[in-house]
Amino acid sequence: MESRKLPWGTLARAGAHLLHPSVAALLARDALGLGSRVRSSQEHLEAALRWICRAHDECGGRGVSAGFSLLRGWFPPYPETTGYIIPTFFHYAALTGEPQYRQRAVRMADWEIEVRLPSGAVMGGVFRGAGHESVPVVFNTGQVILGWTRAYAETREERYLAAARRAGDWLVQQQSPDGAWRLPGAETRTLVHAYDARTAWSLLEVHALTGEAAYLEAARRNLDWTVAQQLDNGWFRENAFFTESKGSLPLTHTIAYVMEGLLEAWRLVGEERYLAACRRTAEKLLRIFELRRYMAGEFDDTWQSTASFSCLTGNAQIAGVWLRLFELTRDTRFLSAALKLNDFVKATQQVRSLHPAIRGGIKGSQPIWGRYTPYTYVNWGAKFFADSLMLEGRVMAKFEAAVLSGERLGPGDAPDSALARTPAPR
Amino acid sequence: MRIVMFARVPAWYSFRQDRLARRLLADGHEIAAIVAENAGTFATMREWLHKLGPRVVLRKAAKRLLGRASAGAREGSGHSATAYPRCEAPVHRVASHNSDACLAILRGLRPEVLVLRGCGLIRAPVLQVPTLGTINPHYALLPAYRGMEVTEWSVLHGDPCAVNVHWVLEAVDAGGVIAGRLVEVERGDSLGKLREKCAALAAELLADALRRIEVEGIRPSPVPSTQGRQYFVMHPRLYQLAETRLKSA
Repeated sequence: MESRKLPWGTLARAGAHLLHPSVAALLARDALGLGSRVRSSQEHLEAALRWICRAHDECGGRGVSAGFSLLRGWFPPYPETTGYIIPTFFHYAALTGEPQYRQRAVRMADWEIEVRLPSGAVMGGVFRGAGHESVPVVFNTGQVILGWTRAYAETREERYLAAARRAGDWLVQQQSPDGAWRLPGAETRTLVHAYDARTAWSLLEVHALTGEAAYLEAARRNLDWTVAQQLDNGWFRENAFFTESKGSLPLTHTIAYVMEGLLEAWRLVGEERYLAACRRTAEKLLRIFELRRYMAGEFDDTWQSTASFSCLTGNAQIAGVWLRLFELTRDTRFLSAALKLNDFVKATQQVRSLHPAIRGGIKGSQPIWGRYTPYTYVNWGAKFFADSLMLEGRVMAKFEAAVLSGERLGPGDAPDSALARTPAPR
Repeated sequence: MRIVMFARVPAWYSFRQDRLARRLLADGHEIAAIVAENAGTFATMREWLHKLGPRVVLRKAAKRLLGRASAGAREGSGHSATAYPRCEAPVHRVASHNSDACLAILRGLRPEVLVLRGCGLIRAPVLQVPTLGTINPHYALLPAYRGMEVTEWSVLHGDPCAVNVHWVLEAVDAGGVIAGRLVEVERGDSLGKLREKCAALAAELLADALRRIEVEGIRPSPVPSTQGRQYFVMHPRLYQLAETRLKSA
């Protein structure tokens, strides 16, 4: 019988990380269910961005580290999430006028071109070096396209558009006739995903820049398939990462991915069915959150949950979707719920921790040992939290001005049929 | 009419000077009992401070201690507030208004009308006990503003404030309105003061609704569930905005 070696190196590293007083304090806080003080959105936003910069610097300022594990330390850079962090950094640079964020976004976009696969697609998982085996993944490719299209819009450098176009061509080639993508991925056990609505959104961005119909048609095929996966109660089939009993339910993270994809698709093509589908799920989640006063991390097809964790990335994304829907509908319930859900995430962010890898980071789960990425701070959590806070700042500034000017904001003010399409939160 | 009142208060709360109970007694109704769901003192104080503000809470406490009738009972009823009888109705304490114990008490009391005076959602088995129905005061326009903290939501939106007394059905605030009136908002009003005005008006409107049920024979009617929105607890930042809007109005 083969003897199994204990991973002494990993255990020693884990022990060293766990001995840090900030980690001990964090674990105690989560065990007792205590939240941190909720500070101004600005303070939380800055902390989140600084944490992503640290994750970026850990990987030589090229790709952004996938995250920081209390057990294993910093991870290698993650092409998928680095891709969608690019628009966040451009947005923050525009908001603050700090050029370093724009420079970082450009470096990320260039790195993505370097590490893409020969087919033009983007690999699954983290990037461990050129010699390692890598598998192309549909969703990851779509997320990096979102980074390249934004980089092109900001810089007008043709290489970004060329990369987006080539990746888009690969996506179109891989699509099933019914509109879904069915390719095995490195990070998931499920084959087909409703959350590829975000992939469809990326194709719409390429179409918006190139005008080529193939991208639009492929995106529409997928979005129509996605809408067909929605149950009457707003829940989406085919939306989990795994097939095993534990993990076979959609996380709020993937549910929010679908809503984001549909919402952005509606913005770009004006198809009302996409907005209606997004809104149905968003309203259901709002009711669940307000009545249960908690957002569980995953839900079954009747919106029941036995999860003892909350998925912080999903929370930030849902808050972002609610804020967008408030902008569209002027239904203040979305605004109130979004502020509360952002507060929940704020209370889990340590903005004054002495541990540099914890300070400003967003955990995968609350408590940190929850099923989704346990004991890990994930870069996409910080990214979506930052997106949501930037949007919150813009929305609240406009809303406060409207309230204080005496404008009437009651129900019936903006009938659904009269909704105007608004630009995306850049 | 034979009435049972539901309330949610701490164990030490006395109903002897309760504004609503005294108002209904003054109209000749029989309060068979008050069924009180126990609420924690700390949670109740926090809720009162949140909803009414410290000034209104202190003023109300002082009035209670001095044994005077509350200010709202003065509003145009033709009754002298100080002449209202004290409420000596028996008080039953229950853990939950939807519990079997509460149901048994209520069935024994055989009320014609169940009056809700600040409590949670009441389930169908309880609502089926009173022979004529259950009524509830609601501090906003119906059906536009259903749910919670509706006075605050109305103010935030710049809509008129109102009190409605409506039939209670199983769905939230889905019963037809029996009586309603707008609340006059005056310069310098705070949200707490506005809520206090609503409470005073609610006592009058409940009396009016009971009269209409008794004299005009009005019976429960539903409102289409598609009308209006159900509101939830307001985020503190929006609450502050509503307060600012009210003060600057």
